[in-house]
Amino acid sequence: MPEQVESRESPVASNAAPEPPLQVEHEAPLLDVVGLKTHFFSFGGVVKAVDGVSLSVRRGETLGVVGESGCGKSVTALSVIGLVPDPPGRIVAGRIDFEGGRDLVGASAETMREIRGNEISMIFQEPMTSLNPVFRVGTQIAEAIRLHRKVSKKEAMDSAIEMLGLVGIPSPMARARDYPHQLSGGMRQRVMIAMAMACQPKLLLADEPTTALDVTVQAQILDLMNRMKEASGAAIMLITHDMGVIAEMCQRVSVMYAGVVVEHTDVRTLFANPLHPYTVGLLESIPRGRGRGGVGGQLKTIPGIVPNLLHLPKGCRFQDRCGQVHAACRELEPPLAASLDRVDGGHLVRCWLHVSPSETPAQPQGQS
Amino acid sequence: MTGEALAILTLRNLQKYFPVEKGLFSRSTGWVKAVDGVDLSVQRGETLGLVGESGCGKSTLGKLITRLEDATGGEIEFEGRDTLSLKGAALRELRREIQTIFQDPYSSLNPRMTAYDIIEEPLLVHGTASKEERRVRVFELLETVGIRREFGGRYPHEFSGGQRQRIGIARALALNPKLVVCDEPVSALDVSIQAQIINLLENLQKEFGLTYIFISHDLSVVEHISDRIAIMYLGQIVELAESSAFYAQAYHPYSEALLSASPVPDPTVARQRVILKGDLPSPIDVPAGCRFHMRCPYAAEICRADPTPPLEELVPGRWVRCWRAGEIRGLSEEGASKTAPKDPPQNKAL
Repeated sequence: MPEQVESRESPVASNAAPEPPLQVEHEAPLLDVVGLKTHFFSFGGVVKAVDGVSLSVRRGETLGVVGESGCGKSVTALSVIGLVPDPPGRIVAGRIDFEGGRDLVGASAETMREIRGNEISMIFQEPMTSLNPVFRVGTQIAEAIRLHRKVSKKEAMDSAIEMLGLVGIPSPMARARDYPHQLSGGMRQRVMIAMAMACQPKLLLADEPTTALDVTVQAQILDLMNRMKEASGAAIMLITHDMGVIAEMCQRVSVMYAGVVVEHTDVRTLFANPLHPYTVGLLESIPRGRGRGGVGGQLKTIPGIVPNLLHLPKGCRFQDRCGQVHAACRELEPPLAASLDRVDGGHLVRCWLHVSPSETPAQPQGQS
Repeated sequence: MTGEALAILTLRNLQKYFPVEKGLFSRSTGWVKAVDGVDLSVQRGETLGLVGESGCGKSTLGKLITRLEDATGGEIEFEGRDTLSLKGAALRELRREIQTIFQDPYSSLNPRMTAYDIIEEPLLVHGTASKEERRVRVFELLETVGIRREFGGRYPHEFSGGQRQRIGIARALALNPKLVVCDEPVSALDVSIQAQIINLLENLQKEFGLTYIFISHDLSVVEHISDRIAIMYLGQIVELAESSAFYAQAYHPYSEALLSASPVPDPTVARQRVILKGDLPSPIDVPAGCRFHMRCPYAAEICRADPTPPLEELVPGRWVRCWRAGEIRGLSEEGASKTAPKDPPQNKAL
């Protein structure tokens, strides 16, 4: 591997080129994010929370977006649905193509309101803070329906109750009259899912939907999300830091680090043959018991901490924590491109060990 | 089977009830039975994992052990002393020997004190050490937990989450405790940082011969770090077993569901998930009979009627609170001994 790297002298041209869409397919992906940059203009300087993210979600699939706190995964989702707080945040570059052509970056506030909750909806980590405490849950779901469908209040409430039944809330008629504080955490998250799915969206953004829940309730909610997805045909972009959830829910995965996607492939390849040193480190640092395919003894760790997004190093963002760092990594940031190790181009990685510097960034065929 | 002889800590029928108060004059209208009859003993030098979902009483149990809460009933014996009756100087001495590492490194460190002051504080409160001795000790502790001594003058907000947790650990170690109650010490940390802290805890245990009670809801972390594991449900221990035996096969239906619900980071594993119905019942009105019967896929007539099943040693070293566990797991009296864990030092009675 190193000798290949040394031959790569000046990859400047390829790096400067804008990154192409990740998908060249017969069918356009449902959501195609290309070179998205969402920056926050703070007093301390510009925080590049999302700094050139490219990812795509196909119809009916679950795409996992995994990364540690502060890697920009939530801001990516907020950018897609147009909820980045402005100021201080702003999308400064990139495209978000929805349904092959509509660019959401330039869309008017009015257009975004029409799409949000209707064609794209979102569920959040903490259901208590995302539900309004002073309205009954049935009313809140009915409100979402009335915003997007021409129905009477009565009809909207009927469909709200139907949705509550669909997400497995017992006696939905009575529960619709409850306030959020009267429900348990798991029930609140079911209400959030009912609200998000009420208008049959094509895309559901789920931002750490089960992180605040207990493990048995998490299993219920993940199971529910899968059933709702199958019933409605919606695609899910599932944001999480939990590799276990990724393994159980997703078909393809994008791994994020410090504002960029560093690796993208299908879920089996990611776990069987991770390429980026960060992904490798992340997978190795998960404690696994001796009884379940793991080994005892010391856990492997990734040394150091994530870089400050105000002062990113020159070159690769992972260089200070990487065991295989070399001169090229300190010079220039690698592009997210098809790995040399895979002929079909289905495995994208942002690392000089695995991409050719002369090659223009990938023209990959995503594969499942 | 001389479990208690080797035990550093023994709990007997420990109870903690919180009153539920209502109205202007705080009439007591009921009790939250947060800890309801826990029997447990912890061996010197082991790590006992204490696992359960929110509200099961695991943190309260930790607070009772450290005497941050007073028990409603029962006994705690720590190195031969009945800790619940200790007062004054004897209680201070106990608190020197039992320390806690808290979950949230953001709220458990005083933002107005420097890292140096935070670690020095226990030495000031308990010690007779001179200023110079304290200085040497604080620097030594900083080094032990992997923080450069120049950083001692910094305030908590200047550190990352993992570094803060290291400061919390240094503070807990300052007085050379014998038992450390780790209350979800890595739950607030990212995976890569979590691994660093777990390794640190394991190294410190080896170096200083510590005994850990490791409270967590994360079964993978507990599996990695624990020698034995206790599963709590609604204020009671429902299963207590050696870690490797437990993860090979959980005996209590609740443990089984918990284990099958925890996501495994391997997409090639096709698993049969046991998805429980419903939520954890409120600890204010616990169900009659077995506390788990309403969510249990194996519940039968006997489970719905009082009394609650006792915690029984089903196979040596393995205690289960379930009427039907022996039957479900296909254990006859003879078959039981075959599946029992073989390692004698781990076969500790309660």
